[in-house]
Amino acid sequence: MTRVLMVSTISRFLRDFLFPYADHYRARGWQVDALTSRVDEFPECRRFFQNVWEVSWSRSPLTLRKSWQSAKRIREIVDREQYDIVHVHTPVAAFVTRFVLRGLRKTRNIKVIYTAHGFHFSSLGSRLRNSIFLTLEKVAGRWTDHLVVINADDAHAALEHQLTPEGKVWHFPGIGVNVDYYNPRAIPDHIVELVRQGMDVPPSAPLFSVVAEFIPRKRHYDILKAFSMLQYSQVHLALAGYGPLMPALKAYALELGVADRVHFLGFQNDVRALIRASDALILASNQEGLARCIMESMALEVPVIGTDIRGIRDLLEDGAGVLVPPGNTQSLLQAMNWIIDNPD
Amino acid sequence: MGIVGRQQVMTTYRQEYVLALHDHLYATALGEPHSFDIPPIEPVTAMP
Repeated sequence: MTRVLMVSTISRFLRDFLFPYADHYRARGWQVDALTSRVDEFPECRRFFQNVWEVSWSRSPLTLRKSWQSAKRIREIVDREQYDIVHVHTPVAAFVTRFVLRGLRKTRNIKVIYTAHGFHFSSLGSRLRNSIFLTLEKVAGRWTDHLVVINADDAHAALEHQLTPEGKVWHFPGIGVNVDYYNPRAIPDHIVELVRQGMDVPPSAPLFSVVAEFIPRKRHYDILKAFSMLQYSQVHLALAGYGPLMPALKAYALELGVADRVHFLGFQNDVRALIRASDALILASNQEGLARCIMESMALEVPVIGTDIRGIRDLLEDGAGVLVPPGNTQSLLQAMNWIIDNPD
Repeated sequence: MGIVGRQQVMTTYRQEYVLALHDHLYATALGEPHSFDIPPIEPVTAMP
């Protein structure tokens, strides 16, 4: 029996991305376990994985001290369970686990696979930040059997910086989207209407939606600013998600005088009806791996406005969406106006 | 062709396709033969 351990920094990542993988390989009779932190936040992880091992680590690769305390436990678990493959995701978990297993990898013939969901160094990052993250990737690359990247820029960077040996870099198109679930024909019109009614958005009013955590790199401020500059007073904006910036963004919407048309929906388990109810989805990030909310919107046949960065450009180039420069509210405004003026 | 029309042709992002790619990757990592019905994909060895 093949044994696989999937590793992520927090349990939410398992819930958001890896449940279909656990299902797929467990259906083949494989043992599929997970190693993560904060399992209590998403206890459903225990249904999808045979064993869920809890460790504690920080989310930032720059504050690794807490994570080292888990090193001994990780080594014991991997040694005892005799995994064939350890597949690591997210920067902290990926770095620490690869460090811990650097010896066991050879002695126990464990294959270590790392999926980089967007490198933390990029053309938009500062020189210091880029230098730190690139160095960490180079060091950990020596302990990696296969590296999976999910956008063209990262594939280029992995080869340019020789992050793993030649022939060990794979460019996959993200983690995949379930097109049966994100099927526009599966969302009844009355459900879509209910979403609009729930926000008091008239049927004829344009609606933009954003599905993104309220963190700086998602650049919600740009969207709110551009939204406030629209000439159409009946346009609405729905923001699904949560995160530390939410109170400040609510205050900013008030300051801009648009709070009555900006809807903070909190975390949504199912965003399909919201996206279908929208004239376009907007993602204004300055850093992405391969943006899943865009893939979901594309599958639901709803137009997308996205920033021209790696991981969004891959999806929207060739006219599959409207690309705007990151941090440019004027371009964002023009794109929103274009969507309003060209509803079909 | 409009935006939505272009979106519909982007089938490589489908979950079943990406799962098949993982099947291929895992089999390669384990040194096992594999016969999955997916388009040929090999590790990236040249600048894209």
